[in-house]
Amino acid sequence: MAALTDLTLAEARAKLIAREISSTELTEAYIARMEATADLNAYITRTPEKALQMAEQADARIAKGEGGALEGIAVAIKDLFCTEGVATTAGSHILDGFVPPYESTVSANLWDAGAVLLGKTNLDEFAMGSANVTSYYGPVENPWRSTDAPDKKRVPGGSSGGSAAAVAARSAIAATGTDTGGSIRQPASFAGIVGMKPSYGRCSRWGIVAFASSLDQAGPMARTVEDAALLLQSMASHDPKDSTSAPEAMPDLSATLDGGVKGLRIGVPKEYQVDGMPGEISTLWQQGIDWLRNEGAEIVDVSLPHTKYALPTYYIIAPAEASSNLARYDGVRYGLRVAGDNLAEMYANTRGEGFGAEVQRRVMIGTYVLSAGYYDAYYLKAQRVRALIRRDFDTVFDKHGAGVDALLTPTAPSDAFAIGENEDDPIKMYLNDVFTVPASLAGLPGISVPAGLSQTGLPLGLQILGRMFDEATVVRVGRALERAAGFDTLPTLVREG
Amino acid sequence: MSLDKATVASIATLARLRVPDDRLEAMVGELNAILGWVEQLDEVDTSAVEPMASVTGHALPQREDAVSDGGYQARVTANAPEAAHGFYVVPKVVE
Amino acid sequence: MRGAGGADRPGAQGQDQHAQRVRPQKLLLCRPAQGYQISQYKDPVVGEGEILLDLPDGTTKAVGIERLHLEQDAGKSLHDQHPTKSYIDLNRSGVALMEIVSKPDLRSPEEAGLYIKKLRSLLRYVGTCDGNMQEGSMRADVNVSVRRPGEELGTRCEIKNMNSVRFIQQAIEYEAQRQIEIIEGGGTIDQETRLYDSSRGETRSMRSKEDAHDYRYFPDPDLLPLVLDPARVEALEADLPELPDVKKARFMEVFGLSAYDAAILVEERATADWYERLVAGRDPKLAANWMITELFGALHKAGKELSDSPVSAEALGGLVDLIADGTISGRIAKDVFGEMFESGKDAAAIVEEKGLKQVSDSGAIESLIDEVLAENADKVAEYKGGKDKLFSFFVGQTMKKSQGKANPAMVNEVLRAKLDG
Repeated sequence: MAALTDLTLAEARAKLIAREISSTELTEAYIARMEATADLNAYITRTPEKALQMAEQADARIAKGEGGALEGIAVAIKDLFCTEGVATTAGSHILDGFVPPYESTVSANLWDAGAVLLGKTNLDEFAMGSANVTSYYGPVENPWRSTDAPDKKRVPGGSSGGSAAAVAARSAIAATGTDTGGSIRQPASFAGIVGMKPSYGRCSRWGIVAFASSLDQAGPMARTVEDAALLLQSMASHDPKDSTSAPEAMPDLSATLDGGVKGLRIGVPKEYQVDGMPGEISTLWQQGIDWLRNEGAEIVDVSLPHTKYALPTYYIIAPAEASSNLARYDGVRYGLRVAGDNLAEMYANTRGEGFGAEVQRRVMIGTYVLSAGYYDAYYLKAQRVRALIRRDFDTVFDKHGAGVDALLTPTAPSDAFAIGENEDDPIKMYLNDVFTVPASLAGLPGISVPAGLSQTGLPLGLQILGRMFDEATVVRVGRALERAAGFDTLPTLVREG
Repeated sequence: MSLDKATVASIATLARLRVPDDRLEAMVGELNAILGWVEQLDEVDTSAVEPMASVTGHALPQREDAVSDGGYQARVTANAPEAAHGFYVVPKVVE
Repeated sequence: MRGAGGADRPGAQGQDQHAQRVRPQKLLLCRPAQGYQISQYKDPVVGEGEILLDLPDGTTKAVGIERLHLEQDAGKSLHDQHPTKSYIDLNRSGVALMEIVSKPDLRSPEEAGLYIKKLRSLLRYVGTCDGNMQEGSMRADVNVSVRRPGEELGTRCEIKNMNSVRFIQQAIEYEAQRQIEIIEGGGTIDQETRLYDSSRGETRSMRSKEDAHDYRYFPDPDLLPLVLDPARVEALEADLPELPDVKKARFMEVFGLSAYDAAILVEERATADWYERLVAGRDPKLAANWMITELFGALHKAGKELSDSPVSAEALGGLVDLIADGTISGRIAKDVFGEMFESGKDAAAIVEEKGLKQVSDSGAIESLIDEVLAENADKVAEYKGGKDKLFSFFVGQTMKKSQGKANPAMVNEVLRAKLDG
């Protein structure tokens, strides 16, 4: 296997600037890798020609001594970001044939920084799922296999499953993801890579197909914490086109990345020790605690009492917002149209055929919880509990409370399960996000760092959560954890070529 | 609170979803399971808590009242399943 | 909009306003591009107030305003462009509009018309809207109900998207009659949305689906709470122009105008400004008369607006000055005005050019009168014999002989002296 695709983003960047390699060479290597790993179904749309064009332009800029922070770096974009002139599907049948006439702010930021588009990665339909099995374009396969059942294909997690699989399988240096309740962090854990959800508002939502507007947040997926920080640095911006975009300036993450955890207070929330969690998850978590303590952090036991209510809260708020955001898909302006005898029937037919089962379920739940007579009992109640969940976090981060600088938790309650598992019961699938959803509801930044292997040889991640807009501490702790864990196992498919 | 088939059918109408009858049956069970599960929120005393609608703590940004976008009708309608003269075209609505 | 006693001003409510989302579910309503409509459903940007109407009988009526809120234009559908298709026009979809909701205080098509005109005038004064109904800058949804004297308000029907005062009045007339006929026939009114067909002069039902009536409002997660800084509200208030009710009162008090004249002059801010330029240093009533009677008459006849009047405020002022200082008589002034309107020349130049200066030289007037009396010796005898009414005959003859230029006051004076002296 070509050495070029083994380079981290930071390494490739250094070699590009030193002109030891060209973007064209790097991009060609990734195009070849995309083709070789096509069976994983990580990409919905591959754009090799566009990639080579962009690489050529990047090389020209580098030759002139110009170029942005990601000049010549070949990345993948989750197919939830609108890309001008490149089909965008959101993993749904209902967006058939849709070619955006505009570019999302996040992807535009990346192109401005010189990055190269390899293609659009697969995802759960409208980002609704935790296993990348709800995509209209078929499930994504995780490049990892378990040692006990090596023939069984594993899910890469979801919803950013295509991005996770692509980064793990070396068919992209790094990729964008979006995280509404864990859609970056959980697949990162399942695929043995780093995935980060920044604070709500850090990355503009403009041009990202909306799922749940108060929760959706874009973030980086990469092989190292440093790479994730580099990608996020370019993705984030204050954008007047998204009224929820944060005006707070993003600090230079690389400046403090290697600061270590000495003297930091790291909280360990007891409520994340949930019933029925596999022992190996608890063991890894304890391992993580020990690593950070050995690195000089002060470990503090904390309580986030409303943690158990986060998932049910999420499954009211997210579907409610989704039912409204997905109202626009009706066969009038873009995508699929299924004929009907009249306009109302055309709408219903289009949506009935265009949306998959999980999306329909959530639209139905969302419609119900917002309907007359049920709004207070469900939606308003959920918003109140959401306030309590945020208050829990505020208390532990507050100087007058536990005063912690970051929290350490597991990312997911299991390793990657086999394709087909957990599909009989929606709630079972929802439980995958038990550790990621609370921070989503609170808007806080979080990162998943690969920390070890399960007993059956599958990767497991640990999650670091931080204060609102304190990405700097999150990546700093994440980097320390990464160093201590020294996770260097390659995915089964990469190891075996 | 448990939904019956008729209620689920009316939610589907409200949501503008054609749900075939056989699928409707299954949906009744699925939705009831999810609603039953989220109802554990009733345990939480929220009597003194304001609902939280946004997490950033910021107020809505304001700008000059000026046109900042638009003027490219053809680009906007290019994705339409059916369009004519700059309009979207749908089956005739009888008023 | 608060209009009590002319104190029109926006009153900001609550400091924490969440925009609300609403998905219009009515089958026949056009759906905006995102599939839902954003509206300040719970927290309107402006709260209660009232607007004063001047009724034809000279009394004033207060119409309550419930709220003013912002919402998105949904776009519109066109159903008559194609035999089997409807066209959806989303060109304005998503653009903000403000909806002003009045209380059920209007009692007749006339009052509705006055209300629309007054509202339009206010909006134009503050510069928020040009009020052009034909171009769709301003539209009205009109709710109509009828009741027997003394009873509660009846069930209302809403007539949507009205775009002219005339149609509004016709639609109300038709709709009220329709409802009366139903009730007198023993029926009841169904609350519904109706459309006015101006070509047939009738309203008809938009057959909306009853089951699709759940709007599902919730705070829009794409928008943060709107916080209005009280200092900004104060600054806006301080910046408001003098509004029509206050201006009218001032015109009546300071200029001594009648309520009728004042109302005409303040309806448009530009008209009031024009008058104020005209009246500067001049007799206010004389100025108002010339503006309202002569200028507006001529503009109307020529199909012109005040903004493209060939006679400027300064030019009309020049004419008024010539009347006031006795240079020309009122009658001559009308001719001069006609000429000014035609040619755009100023009054003094026309008077000079055509020698229209009033004759106030007593010697000249005396000789004119002597001629008239000599030519009409028989009438002089009759007058002296007691036929007093002939006095005006002699005045007329003298004026005629002077080609209208003789100073009428002097003619009267000298005639009196000669005939009665």
